[in-house]
This record gives sequence, C-alpha cells and structure tokens, in this order.
Amino acid sequence: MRIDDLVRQAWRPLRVYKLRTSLSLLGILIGVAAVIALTTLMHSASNSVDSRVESLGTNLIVATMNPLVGASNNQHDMTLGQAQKLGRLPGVSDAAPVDYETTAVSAGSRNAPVTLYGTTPHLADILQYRLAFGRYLTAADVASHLNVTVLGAQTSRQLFGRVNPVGRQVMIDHEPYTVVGVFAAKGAFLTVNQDAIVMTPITTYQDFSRIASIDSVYIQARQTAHLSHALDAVNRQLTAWFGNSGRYTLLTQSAILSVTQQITGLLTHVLVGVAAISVLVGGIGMLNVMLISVSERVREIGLRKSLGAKRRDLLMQFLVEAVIISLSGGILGVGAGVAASLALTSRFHIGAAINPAVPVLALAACVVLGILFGIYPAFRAARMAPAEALRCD
Amino acid sequence: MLQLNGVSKIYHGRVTTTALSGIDLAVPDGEFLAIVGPSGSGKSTLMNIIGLLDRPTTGQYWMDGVEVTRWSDAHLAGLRNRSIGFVFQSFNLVPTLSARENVELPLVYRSVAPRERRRAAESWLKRLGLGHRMDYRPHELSGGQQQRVAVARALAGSPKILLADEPTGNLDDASRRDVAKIFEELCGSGQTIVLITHDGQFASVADRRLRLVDGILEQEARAASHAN
Repeated sequence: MRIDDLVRQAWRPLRVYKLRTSLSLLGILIGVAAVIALTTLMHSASNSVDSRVESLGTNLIVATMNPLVGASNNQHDMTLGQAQKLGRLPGVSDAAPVDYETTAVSAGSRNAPVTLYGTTPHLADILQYRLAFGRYLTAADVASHLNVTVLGAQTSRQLFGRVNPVGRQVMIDHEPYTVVGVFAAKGAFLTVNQDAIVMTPITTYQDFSRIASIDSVYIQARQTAHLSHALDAVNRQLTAWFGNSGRYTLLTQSAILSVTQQITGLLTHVLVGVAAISVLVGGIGMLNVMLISVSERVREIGLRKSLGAKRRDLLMQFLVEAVIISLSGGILGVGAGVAASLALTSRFHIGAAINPAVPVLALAACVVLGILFGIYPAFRAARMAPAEALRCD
Repeated sequence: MLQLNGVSKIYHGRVTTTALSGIDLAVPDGEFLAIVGPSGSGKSTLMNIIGLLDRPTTGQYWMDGVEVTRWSDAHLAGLRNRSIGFVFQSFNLVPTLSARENVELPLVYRSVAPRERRRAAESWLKRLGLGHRMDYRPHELSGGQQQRVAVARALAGSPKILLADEPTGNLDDASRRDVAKIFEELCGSGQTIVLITHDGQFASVADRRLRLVDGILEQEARAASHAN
C-alpha cells in the first residue's frame, strides 16, 4: 500500500465524521494549550521576578532583626546609630535602616493606602527608585527630624491626580508632612505594588511611632565580587552587638533569588504536571473514540481484508488516523496555548517568554500519544478474522 | 483452476458443529458455477473458504496447481487481492468513500498508481451503467446501483474468480434481473464465476449447479432439465 493512499484512507473517515473527530481532538487541544500557556506563564513570571530581583543588584544584603523569642539571652534592639555604623564597615558602600508599616495617607478628601518607610536617603538609591519631581530625602531631613515625605508614583496620582504635588501637604497618621519629591513609576513586583509608598526620615518615623529600634537594614556591598567579604564584616559586627543568639537574619540578594527560583521552579513542575495529566486524559478520550470507531467499522475492516488488505495495512490505517487526530489537536492546542500565553502575560504586565522548544516538544509528545493510544484500537482492527468481521452486523 | 480436496470445516464452540464435510470441488477457468442450498447448509462457510477468508479444518485448497492451504495470512491477503473478487449480499461498500473510490480499493491494496486505478474504476463503472454516479457516496445510491458498484469493485482487480454470495438477496425484481444479466454477460466474456444463492431462477443461468445440503456438496438433481 502506498503511503499517500494510507494517509488518504486514514483521513477520509476523520473528514466524514467531523463531530466525532473534533470531540476527540478537543481533549488533546485543551491539554496542549494548558501545558503551553502554563509553562509560558511560569517562565515569563519567573523571568520577570529574576530581572526585578537582579535589578536591585546582586550586591544587596538585608539584615533583619528577629522578634524576641522567649527568654533570649540578649534583649538588645538595634539602634539608628548601629544601623548607620554598618554602612561604614569595610567592603560596604551604603546602608539604609528601614522601618515600615502599612497605613493610609490623605490630602484633602482623598485617601490612599500605602506602605510607609521610615528610612534614610540611601534607600531610594539601594532600591533604585528614580525621581519624577522634586528631590530625595536628605541627610539634613533625617538629622532635623523634618516632616517631609517623598511619594510613590501611584500614591501621588491617587492624591493629586496629574498635578505636581511638591510643596503640598499630606496627612500621615494624623501628622502633616510636606511633599518634597515624587518617585517615577516602578511597576508591580508580582503582587507587591512598589508605587503605593511614601518615604519619610527614619528619625521622624521614630518620633511618631515611639519605637526607637530598627527593624531591618538594607546594606549595599561595594562590589559584587566582595559580597562575601562584606557579608563577613556585617556578620561579625552584628555578632559583636547581639551575640550568636538568632537575634538577626542575614539575607543576600542571591539567596533571595535562589529561593524565588526554587519556588517558581516547583510551581512550574506542579502546574505542568497538572496540565500533562489533562493531555493524558485527552489521550484516553481519543483512545475511547478510536475503540468505538473500530467497533463501528468491523464490517468495513472485514471488507478491506477481503479486498486484500494485510494486517499491516489496517494497523497503519488506524494508527495514522489516531496520529492525525492527536497531531491536529496538538497543532490547534499550540495555537490556542500561544494565544492564551500572550493574553495572560499582557494581563499580568510581564514580558511573554515563549520557549520555542515547548511547542515543538508538545507536538512530538502528541505524535507519541497518538501512537501510544492508537496502537491498541489499531491492533484490534488488524487482528480481526476476516470471515467473522464480515458476518458482524 | 480452483480445486478443493476433502475440505471440511468444524467449529469448536460450546457444541461442535460440522459446517462442511468432505467437499471435493474443481472449478475450471471460465466456468459459471452456482451453488444452491437452504440457509444453514454451510454456504457462507464454503464461500469463506473459497474466498480464502477462512481456513479449512482438514483438506487442501489448490489454486492453479499450487497448494495454498497453509499460506501465511499476509500471503493469503495478497492472493485474495489478485485472485478473488467478492460480491456480497449486503453490498459492503465503504460508506465514507465515493463509488469510484470503492471500486479503486482492491487496486489501492495492490499499490497501483492513482491515475491508473482511477481509469480502471471509471471504465468499470461506465460499463455497468454508473458513469453518472461515480462521485456519489453509497448512501446516495439505490440498492441496485450499490450492488453494481460492488460488482465493479470485484472486477476492477481483474480477479481469477468472481465470488458472489447471494448478490441479489437484498434487491427488488428489476435490480435482480439487472444483476443476473450482468453475470451472464461476464460469463460470456470468459470470467470464472462462483455464485452462492438460494435463488433458483438466478442459478439457472449458470453452466453448472451444485447443491449444498448439511455441509455436503451434491449434484443438483434436476440440473439437466433447467439448463438450456
């Protein structure tokens, strides 16, 4: 039997029984689309996380004071002076103490939820905020405990619309602050909104919150290459102050990165696993349809045998039928998956990163799936005894 | 020349059934042989064995002096394709294929090039008066037309033997006469035909008639008086 005839004989019933064909490829279509959309979405999201985390610089160290647990042998808290001293350690270029709370800020009748950072001028630098209007906090603001603030882009828009708010008053926790600057928009960091913030001098923050201790310090190493050197210096200093009692935690940017990568990697595996199961279910649906198709066509199989079809001819005919179904499902699924990927990534404001290997692998998997789930029905068709098949009603 | 020597067929089911016993049959080239018999006499079993669709339990099958009884399935499929053209009572056209594609099927399994087999199919369909129905699917044709397509398909592969099992069983009188006339013409052109039927009138056009009773083949008692 010629190959073109084989494909023609396999193709015809698929075209004639359109409903059955489309139903059986629908399962595979959905599964493949899900695999592609999910892998792309996870890949894009993790790329976006990585680039955001990396943009903070791989030379960032975050020192966080742990809450007091039980009868710790060291009850000291970190003071502002200590935090600033960390910035002068060898190998360290900058350190910004950070205390924060979530609160609301208002201007006139307008209100906006924000994360309030009490900090020093360095934080904007370390977290790479750029200015849209006005100026950053200054050392003088901190030294003089001034009621001044720099607004995040979204906060400014919510309170003042398109007007430049520099010089205007806002109320934070019932205290008036003068706006001295507005940051440029930074975008969402996954679900963390980086533009709904206000920064005030740490000294002012401490005055109003009546908390003299420092929660965490963002430390920038002088060079990425000397990160471990700076880390050692910070660690030694903190141990000298607080002892080795678990009072503080040191996190480096690369550690955060590897954690986020682990999480996104795990999520990717879970989601792709779920999607792969749906491809499998689609394949079983196809197996079912192929079995029905074989048992409906017993007479035709007997007839073809009487006309000289060999086992191999019938095996191949039904196998090609199954592969055509699974491959068409796969091709349509790739199309749907790519479309869904583009729609979802644009919805979540992350760059779409479609790995070209994924559609190719998906199509190869569909061919394997077609053969795997087609072989049994095809084998049943091929091995029928012609005389009995012809007698069947 | 087709020859069966001492062929019997025994089915071992819940009860053992002897469908055929000790069949000796020789069909010379060009003969039109009719085998008549009541239902349950083993006609279908004999047809399956002559058509190489089933193997005898005992006995031998000779085709042109070659014993093919123990050939492999694949070799028998090839032999069927080249030597036997089937016409069934229920037409057995592939519903998803057009009349022409149905007629082309035996040539498809012989790997004949599309253009060549298309020409063969069209010429047979025209000869059987279906030149205007070549692209129709079976369900768009009448019973008589479907059976003529089936005859065209059986003949498209130029088989040694045309093997017909009750070809007029599902047809009205006009179509039945039609098909009988076609068989007569084919016989006139030298085609070997084995016809299995219980239609005595149809059988009467054959060169020779045999009667199958309870799996045993016997000479048609009144064969001479029918023939002319």
